Amino acid sequence: MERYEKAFLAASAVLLVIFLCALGFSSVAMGVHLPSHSGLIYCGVGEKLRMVLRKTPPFDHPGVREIAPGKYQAVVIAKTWAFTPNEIDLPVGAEVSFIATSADVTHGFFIVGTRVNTMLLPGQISKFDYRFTKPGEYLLICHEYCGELHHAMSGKVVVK
Amino acid sequence: MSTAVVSEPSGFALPQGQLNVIRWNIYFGFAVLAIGVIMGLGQALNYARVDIVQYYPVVKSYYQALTIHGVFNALVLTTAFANGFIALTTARGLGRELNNALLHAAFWTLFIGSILAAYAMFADKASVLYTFYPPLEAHWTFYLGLALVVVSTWITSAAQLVALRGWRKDHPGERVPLLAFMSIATYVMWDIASVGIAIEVVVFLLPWSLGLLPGVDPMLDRTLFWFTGHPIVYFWLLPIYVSWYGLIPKQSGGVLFSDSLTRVAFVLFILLIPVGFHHQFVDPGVSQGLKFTVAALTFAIFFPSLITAFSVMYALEIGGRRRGGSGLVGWFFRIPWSDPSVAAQVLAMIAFLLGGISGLMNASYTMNMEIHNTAFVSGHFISQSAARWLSPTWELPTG
Repeated sequence: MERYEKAFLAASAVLLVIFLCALGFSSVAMGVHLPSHSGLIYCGVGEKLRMVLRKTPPFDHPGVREIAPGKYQAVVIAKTWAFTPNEIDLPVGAEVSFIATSADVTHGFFIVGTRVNTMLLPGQISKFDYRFTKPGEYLLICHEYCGELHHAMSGKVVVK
Repeated sequence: MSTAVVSEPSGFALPQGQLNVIRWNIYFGFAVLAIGVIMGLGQALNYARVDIVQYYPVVKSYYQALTIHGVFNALVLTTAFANGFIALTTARGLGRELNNALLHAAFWTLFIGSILAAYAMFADKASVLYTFYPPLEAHWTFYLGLALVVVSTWITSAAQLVALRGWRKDHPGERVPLLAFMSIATYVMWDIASVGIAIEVVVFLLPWSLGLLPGVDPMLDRTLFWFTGHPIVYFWLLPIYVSWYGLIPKQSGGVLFSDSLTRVAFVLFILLIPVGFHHQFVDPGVSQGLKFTVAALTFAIFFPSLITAFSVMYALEIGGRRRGGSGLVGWFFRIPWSDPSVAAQVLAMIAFLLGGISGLMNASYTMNMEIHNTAFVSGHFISQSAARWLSPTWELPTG
């Protein structure tokens, strides 16, 4: 019995190590990046975060802009219960860098059918790079409960 | 290496008064489960675009119902069940009574805490879901109630440790019986894991809800929450492991595979506490390196569950073969399915299998980007939890 036990434990360990290697491969070789440190927004006691955002670039001008040929930056602010802007237009094949944050409570930022998925926390800047290769209309939703009209909080990404 | 003796309760009977407190815990857990399940039905039908929540008495909104569902099923039921069931397995494992005052204090703390939280939720002052991420704000009774629910587990843990100290005095140099070891390890794991949520609630959210703090840091608070937030799942899971390791070998007529391996599995759960940050894989403000480390820890915590799968299947197979089952799978049909406790536990294992496998998909943070915060997570969470608590309860009347 001891033999079976050792074989089972070894097989379990090998399986888990293989999973971990696959994860390492996807993050290093395939270059799939997660949202990570992208900056903070300081909001003092007595200040309103939404006012602070109005003076903090790039959130003082939310919207889409081309920053280099074929490269776009989409600056988005989430606020109960809407995204500003709520429509993002992009050409097919454009590389877009989403820069987003929340002006009040914790929100989510998920573009259905893609891997664009990040949390939006008050005081934290979320950054996510993606390339839309297929034209179409993509639904942008808030996927973190943010109050009574959370389910109505959505926008769209139009890729032409 | 095989051991058949998990505990030696011969000649020991827990006093009726203590058995009653244990029963109150379990009954209270199932009472809140009943309410939580009714709320859950509203959510399930909502996916079919049928809104029955609007007809519920008292409850005003879907999110209020969802909060009640989450808090009752995931926090109150689980704690009530663990406090009761694990108090019982500790007493039986050590073959001695527990401290009466502590046992009663744990129940009443849990009860009062749950009522406070229930008041806030039913009065529509705490529709913040069971994750209660600030700066969504709930009434202070919600935070105080939840804090008391956590305190009740610490009191139970103290009752265990007092009993263990007494046992050690009477049995110098002896090895702690396995059943008691598993039960106490479960609560030691939780004592450490619950520190995060305790700090979040007592130091930040409670004073903030009372107006004593001007604001909160959403990033810090959710990080404290998730320090507790995944190990809490092990706090729900380990009482069931106690039942699988402790009851299944005896009930199925098999043997426990290995005493030491079982202890190793429980110790691994204590060592691997910091897995909870995997809930923050798509959070800003946490580096990818740390996320990779946490993913590795999360895969590692799958290991003691694989050990458990092996040991429990071994017990079931030996039991099934002794009862005349043969062939590669024939034994599976010969395990005592007519015993509701066995049937429920084995069915729970099958549900748990789906939960475990889907959990590995969530743990792979690149795959997680496709599924984070989608209905996939609810599916994972519910197959992890469903049916588990009901299963060992059939055995309790004989306890």
